Amino acid sequence: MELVRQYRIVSPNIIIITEVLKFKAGDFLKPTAIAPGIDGLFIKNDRFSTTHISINLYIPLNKTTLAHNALLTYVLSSCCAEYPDFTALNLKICQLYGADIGGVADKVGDTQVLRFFSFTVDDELTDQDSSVVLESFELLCKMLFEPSVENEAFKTADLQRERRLTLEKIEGLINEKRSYAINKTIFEMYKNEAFGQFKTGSIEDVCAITEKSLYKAWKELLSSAKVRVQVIGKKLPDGLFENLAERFEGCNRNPMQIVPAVPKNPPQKVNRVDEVMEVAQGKLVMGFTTTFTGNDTETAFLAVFSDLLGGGPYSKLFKNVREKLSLCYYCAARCNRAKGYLMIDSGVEAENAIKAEEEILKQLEDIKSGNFDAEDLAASIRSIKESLRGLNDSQAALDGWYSLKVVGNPTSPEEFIAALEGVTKEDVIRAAGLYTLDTVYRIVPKGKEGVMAYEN
Amino acid sequence: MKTEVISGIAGKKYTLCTLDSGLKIYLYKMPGFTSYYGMFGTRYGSIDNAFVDQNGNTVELPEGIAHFLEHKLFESEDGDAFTKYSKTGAYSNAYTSFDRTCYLFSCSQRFYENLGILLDFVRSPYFTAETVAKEQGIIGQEIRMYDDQPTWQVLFNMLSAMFYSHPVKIDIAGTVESISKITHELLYKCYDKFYNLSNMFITLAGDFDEEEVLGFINKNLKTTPKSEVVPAAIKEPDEVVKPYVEVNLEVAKPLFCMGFKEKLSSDGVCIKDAIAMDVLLRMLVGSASSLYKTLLEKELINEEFAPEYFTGRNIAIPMFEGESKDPKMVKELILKELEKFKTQGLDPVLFEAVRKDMFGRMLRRFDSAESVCSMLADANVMGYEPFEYIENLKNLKIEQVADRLSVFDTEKCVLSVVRRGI
Repeated sequence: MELVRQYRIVSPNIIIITEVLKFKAGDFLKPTAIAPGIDGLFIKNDRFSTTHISINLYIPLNKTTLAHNALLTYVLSSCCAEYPDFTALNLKICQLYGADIGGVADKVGDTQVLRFFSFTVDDELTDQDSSVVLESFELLCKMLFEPSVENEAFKTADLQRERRLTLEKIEGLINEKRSYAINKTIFEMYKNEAFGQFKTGSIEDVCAITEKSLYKAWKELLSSAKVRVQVIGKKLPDGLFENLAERFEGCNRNPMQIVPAVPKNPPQKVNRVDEVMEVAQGKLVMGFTTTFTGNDTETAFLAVFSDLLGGGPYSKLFKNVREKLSLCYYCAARCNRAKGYLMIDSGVEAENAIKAEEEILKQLEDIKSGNFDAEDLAASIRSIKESLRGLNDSQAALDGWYSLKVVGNPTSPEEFIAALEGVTKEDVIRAAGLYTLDTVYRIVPKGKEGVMAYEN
Repeated sequence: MKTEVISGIAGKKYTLCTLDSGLKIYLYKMPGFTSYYGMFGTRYGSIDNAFVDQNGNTVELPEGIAHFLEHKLFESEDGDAFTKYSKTGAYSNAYTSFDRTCYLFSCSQRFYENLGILLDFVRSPYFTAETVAKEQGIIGQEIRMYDDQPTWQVLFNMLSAMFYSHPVKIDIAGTVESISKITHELLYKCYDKFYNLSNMFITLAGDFDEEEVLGFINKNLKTTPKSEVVPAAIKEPDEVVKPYVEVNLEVAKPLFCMGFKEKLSSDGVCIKDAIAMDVLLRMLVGSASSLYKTLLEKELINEEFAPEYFTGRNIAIPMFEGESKDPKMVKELILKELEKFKTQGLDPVLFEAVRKDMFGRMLRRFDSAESVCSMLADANVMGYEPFEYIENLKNLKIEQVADRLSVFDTEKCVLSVVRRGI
């Protein structure tokens, strides 16, 4: 096994060390166990008195494995062979000075991301003899590599508990109407793809999981996932990357290729979906798609466009639809550059819904025809840059930034800032022209079906 | 003007400056950090719905006026603060809670320019009949949005069932009807009363030179003569209004909020008691407790379940919120566990683990400029020294925690439920 260290100096206090573990045939007794590579990312950051470690597993998003992998994340982080009882595990975590140790399942483009993390105070702040940082990392590894299983199956109680919690999470989505409406729109837009699924998978898929199928999914995951371990803090604990590489050695490694997401083609006609509910206020969500995708640098202008349309208080939607016309309490736009969509969501009084939709489209047309202030464009770029600079002051945010960069070499916030600085008015006009309206999803307050009905 | 440096745990320290106007300024230097965070706040929230004027008369105010004023203060004669901040790129916002109103910004560049905007707009009220009328429409929509939020409704229903007259039960944004009574004259009256610098505070965190910051504030802050806020007395009986309240809304599983009415001394919340209660709640139902395990195994709670010691200026309610197929059973099991704690005593191993857990979490908060500013603001509004919380937590004894069990009186318990209508 050979360690190749690559340094990249991003700014005076951020040095990224990429450790590429190269495995050579002959290093192992069984050549089939050769793993082609695991990335390590250490971000040295002296300002914190805490250390953040994450082990990120990347696999292609697939409707048949999505629910298994998501549930696996939660079962693995709730117990392990050494602490088969989750109460005992949680007691241990409390004793590690409030360490945040756990797992979360997410999706980026057509890739499923399973993140296992440990966030602890640095050892010098504790009055403990052992290292809290390393002990937490060890515990995290035990969750991932030494789960509580028997006879090639997870235990029924653990499966049942986490399955119920996942199902209730899916069913509970309706409690928050704003996020429910956004999730429903994504589902409607990508009905025929795995991407349309909620990040835990569908109720049917979650229900179909068994103790044995989950075990199989775990084995498959450790073998086929692309892996990146990220450490953010004052120093890289000795032997951490090597320790993890060793643990993966026995996993029959055969990582799958992680490729850019496939964008959706423009629709033949707009898909309109209304849902009637017992609510006071209506919701209006408009989903647009584009076939234009690319890496962070290539798509920076899309981020500026969506922010100018519906980001901060200088945005077209905030200034006009909310402030000037008082058509809604909130009206925001955000784009997903990995998959290639733009989402505009707002909370509207039923009486204003039709007018709000027209006005939102008008604001988009305005950008297309270049009808926006240079000062507002500058304000938008300034605001995005500000929020990116702030990333370096939060380990969790920085870790999130890197772990969600799934394809190719991850871009640093500084590199993205540099790309934003080159965005021009013409770029923004071009961006506005790239999107096609795909789906309009609305929550209609009961009894207001008439006022929210479209003419024709 | 009086300036002092106050040192605390693990080498942490902050500078406190009290100006002649009564304004308190807290500065927390964070070497090496890129971001700055600043907050200008007043001890004026939704619970301050009445005050005593100079003639000794109690003046009643429309519900939701503190929140309304917050919305309007962003506007000045020369444009609104959002526009000014969009020129510097800073993030800005404001919020009104039960016991305070805070205006804030965060940035990584042009710190003094951003601080200057904050000092200026918070000290420059500008209200007209026309802008007030327009805001009534926008806030009306905000209120209706809250009507659809079951988690908000379940909390306020609990508060209404707990209190007869304590203003904590008032919805922060008021009602469409109450805000219709707000006029620009009334806003000026509230501003003069509650935005006097002696009732206010500034908290700032970032990598700055403290002396330079204080010099800048002194030079740029508009001051007014010192005047005191005399709050109207709150007359609240010890009993709850009713032990159970239920309403119907579109939710998947019933939502519940259960709380205990705690009697506070006239000095408000004692920080030592508050820490002990925070620890007790985690020992009772935290993720390492046996009750949490029982509730999960009986499928009575899910990940939404959490305890909270709901505290503020003159507010202290130990509460439990979550989703359950059977909220009454959850209540019963919590009451039973409390009884067990009272008769069998507390587990020292669990106590030590929970104390360490909270201690580590508190330490981590010092790594975020935003968290630091919030911690300093909490201390100001509730009237304790900012490091008191973490220092008391470090030295907390199990007996202090056991003492807090007396708060849990079955007769003072309220359960609020929101479920889907049949």
